[in-house]
Formats: sequence, structure tokens, C-alpha cells
Amino acid sequence: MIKNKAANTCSVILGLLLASGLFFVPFHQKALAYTIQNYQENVEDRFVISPVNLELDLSPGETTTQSMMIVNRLGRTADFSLSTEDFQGSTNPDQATVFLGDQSSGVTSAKDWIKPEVTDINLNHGDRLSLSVTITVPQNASAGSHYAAVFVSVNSQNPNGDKNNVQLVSRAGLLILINVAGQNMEAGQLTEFKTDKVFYKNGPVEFSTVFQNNGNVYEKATAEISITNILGAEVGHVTVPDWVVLSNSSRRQTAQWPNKWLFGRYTAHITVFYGFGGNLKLERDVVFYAFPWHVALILILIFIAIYYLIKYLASKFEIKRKPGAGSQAEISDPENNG
Amino acid sequence: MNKNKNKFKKACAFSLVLVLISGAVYISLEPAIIRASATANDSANVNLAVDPTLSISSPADVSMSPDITGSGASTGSAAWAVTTNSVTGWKLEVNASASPAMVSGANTFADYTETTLGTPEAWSILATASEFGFTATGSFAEAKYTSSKYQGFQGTTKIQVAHNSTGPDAADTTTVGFKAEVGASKVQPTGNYQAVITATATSLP
Repeated sequence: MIKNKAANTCSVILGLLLASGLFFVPFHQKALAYTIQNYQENVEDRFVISPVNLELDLSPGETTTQSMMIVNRLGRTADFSLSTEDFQGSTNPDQATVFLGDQSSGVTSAKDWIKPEVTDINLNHGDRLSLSVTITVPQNASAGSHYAAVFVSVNSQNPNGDKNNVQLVSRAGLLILINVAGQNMEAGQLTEFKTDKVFYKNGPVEFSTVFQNNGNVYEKATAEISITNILGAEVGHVTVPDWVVLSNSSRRQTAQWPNKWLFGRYTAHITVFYGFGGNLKLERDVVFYAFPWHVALILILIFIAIYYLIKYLASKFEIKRKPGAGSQAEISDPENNG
Repeated sequence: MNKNKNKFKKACAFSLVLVLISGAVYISLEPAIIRASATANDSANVNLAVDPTLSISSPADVSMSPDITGSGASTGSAAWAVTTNSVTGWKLEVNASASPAMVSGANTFADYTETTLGTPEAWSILATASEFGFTATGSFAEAKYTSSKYQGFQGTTKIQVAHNSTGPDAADTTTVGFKAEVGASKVQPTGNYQAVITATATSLP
């Protein structure tokens, strides 16, 4: 009897547990489900995505879910498609990213790790779609940085049907940079630090810096430039905007010293910080010269004019002390006074 | 005469010395002048989060004109406006869905062939050829396209046509001009030729 009662109680508890489990599943799914809200958006013939990039530190086997938003301000209902694509850096310092289409970037690939919650969706004008993007790092993922983008694309309107010769697709991409924990190597070098000119008439002075990342993780470089004149005194300080350099690639960053008045020889010293917490440092100098010849020419003409004016005044007038009148000076005309 | 010449020489020497003295004075006072131009501030923090966004317009498909009758050229254009509030800026790239880009069944226009691959040039094709290419204009279009220089698509490989690394700005419009031409000696099969062109906007990391 007691045994049966205990068995019944166990069944009830088990039943409740199972039922609660069944309830939890849909709730859990609802937490991940995308939402669409409609706002009175202006018609701007564009669509908007947010955020524009994500930087994540993950371990092999780890999964994270990030939010993404797509806003339709096209002024029409449109079909949006989401896809993922690998990208990598470039040895060309003026090309920050290279997108690889259907190709895999190999060791830095991450496109197969990223799953947007929806891949095709129809949105009305003013709709704001909030969706989740799940990123799962495989157990066997190599250490270092991995890169992929989530692209949102929409086909253009087709006013003339098949008569249109060029059909257009517009895409906007969310960049995802993932640092996978493990044996990460950080190594970099400054391959360029120069000014746009060697000789200046006047400022501003443009600095160009190329950081080459030889490591397997992307670097967020920060830099300060200190400018000293011929006497060694610091006359300027420039904070270079932070810049991200993907692994095994180079990237240029520019900065400007806006000072207009320059004269003589200047030395600019750059200190670039990179690595975890900016614990690694690179330094380099560049020398440039300035001579405001246009100002000097004007000054020379002014001084020549002053010289002649003084000479003229000296030939026409003389300064005489008044007889017996202390130190008061008197200007007299030499011709009238003899 | 000689007296005047000497006088002028003296005046020049006098002026030069004064200019050099002025320069030396400026160099010695430069740090103080720079410091003086810096202003002292008192500040209070007011925080407001603005989400980073990137947007791209979606121009209508392009109907090139005029129709080509035997031989001749046809043009069209599309303008993409890119906006971001990302401080690092944006770039715009274009690519075709196929190689060559402009096709009608089995018949094609070849992608425009530059003398140096990847270097845009003034439009010029052989009389025996039919080619399709593009150029780009706009405040942030790549300088290599200035003066109506054309380039051919390279299949799905993305070609950067514009970038803005100066940070947040109002919508920056880049117009991509398309051109197709059939040479005088080329017999181009009749058909409704089409190309699918994708414009991709991304922020700079």
C-alpha cells in the first residue's frame, strides 16, 4: 500500500517535471525568436543594419548568441536575404578587408560557425526586425582570429520587367571578428611612418603609418605622435585614431597635425601600442622641414620698406634735445631750422 | 647709382637678418605659443548610447539606352548611397553574378578588358569586339575612375569603387555608370542581354 502510494507520488513528480520541461522548450524558443515591430519610419530608399561589427573572445566549443537589427526604410515591401561570407585582411595596406564570396578563407574561416535566425524574410516599410545570430566555435577550431560577415541583401525594384539590362542587388554587412582562445601569437612591425611631404610651406602635416600584423590574431593598434622642433622642444602632439589590423595583413592609418605655422626642422616620433592591453610597443621617427617662404617674402618687403622709410625720415628730420629742457625730445624740420 | 645699389643691398641684408631673427624667436617661443593656443576646460559627463548603423540604398534596376542597332554604345547608371555612424568609415564594392557579366542565353558581351588588368582606362574597344564595363563617380569614388575611366567586372570578385575613412558623414552617394558597346565589325547576336550586379557596403573594421 505504502509502496503503491510512493510509486504514485513518483509518477506525479515525474509527470510534473516532464510537463514543466515541455513548457520550458517553447519558452526557450520564444526567447530566441525574431521580432518585427513597425515604426513610422521616413521613406529614405535605404535599409539599415545594426550593429556594424562584433568583436568576440570565445573558446573552442563555446556558443554565443548576438542580436542584430534590420530596418526597412525603402518605402516598399521587400524580401531580405541573410547569408554569411568569409573575409580576410590584405597585404595591400589600403585594403582593410577582402570578402571571399563562396570561397573559404581556410584557417581564419568562420562563415560556417555563424547561423542567423532567419535567412529569408519579407519586411514592410517601417519594419524593424530584431533577430539573433548564433555563433558556435567548433571544438577543433584553431587558436587565433577568425573572420566572417553576415550580409543582408535586397533586390532592387524592377520597373520595366525583363527590359532592364542591369539587375541590381544591394547588400550591407555585419563584420564578426572572433578571437579563439589558445596559442595566440602577437607580432607586428611598422613598415611605414612618413609625412605626405618632406618640405612644407605651412601646415597641416599629414602622417601615414602602416602596421603589419604578422601574428595570428587581429590587433587594435593605438598610436601617439610627438613632434619636436630643432631645439628639441615638444611643439605638437597627435593622437592617431585606433585602427584594427587583421592577422597576416597590413593596414594604413593616417593622422593630421593641424598646426599652420611651421619654421625649421621638425622630428615626429610615433609610438604604436598593440597586443593584449596594449602591452607591445613600436617606435619610429620621421624628419620634415618647413619654411614659410611666402610669409618670409612679405616680411622682407615690409622690412625693406621700413628701412627706406627710416632712411627717408632720417634725411628729412632730426631729433633734437630742447636747450635746457631736460629729457623732452623735439622733432624739428632741419630745413626750416637750418 | 652705386650709392643706390649699396643702399638696396643694405636694405636687403637688414630685412634678411630681421626675418632670420623673427624665425629664431618663433622657434624659441614655439612651445609656449602652442601651449597658449590650447584651452583649459571643465567638463561634466552626459552619456547617451547611439547604436552603430550602416545603411545602403536600393536603386531601381537599370535599363540601358539606346538599344544597340547593329553596332554602337549604350549606357546606364545606378547610384548607391551609403551611410554609417561608425568612426572608422565604410567601403562600397561591386561584383557581377557571372563571368562575363552581360549575357543573353549562350551569347555574351565580354567584360571590358583593360590594358593593365584592374587599372581603369578611357573606354576603347576593338571594332571586332563587344564589351561591357563600368565606371564610378562621387565624392568618395576611388580616384582611379576619374575622367570617365572604365573597368570590366571580374565575375564574383568584388571591386572597391568608393570608400570613406573619415568617419560619420551624411549619406555619401556613389554613381556607377555602365557601358556596353558593339564594335563596327562585330556581329552581335540579337537578344535581351542582362547582367546582375551586386553592390556591397561594409564598415571598415
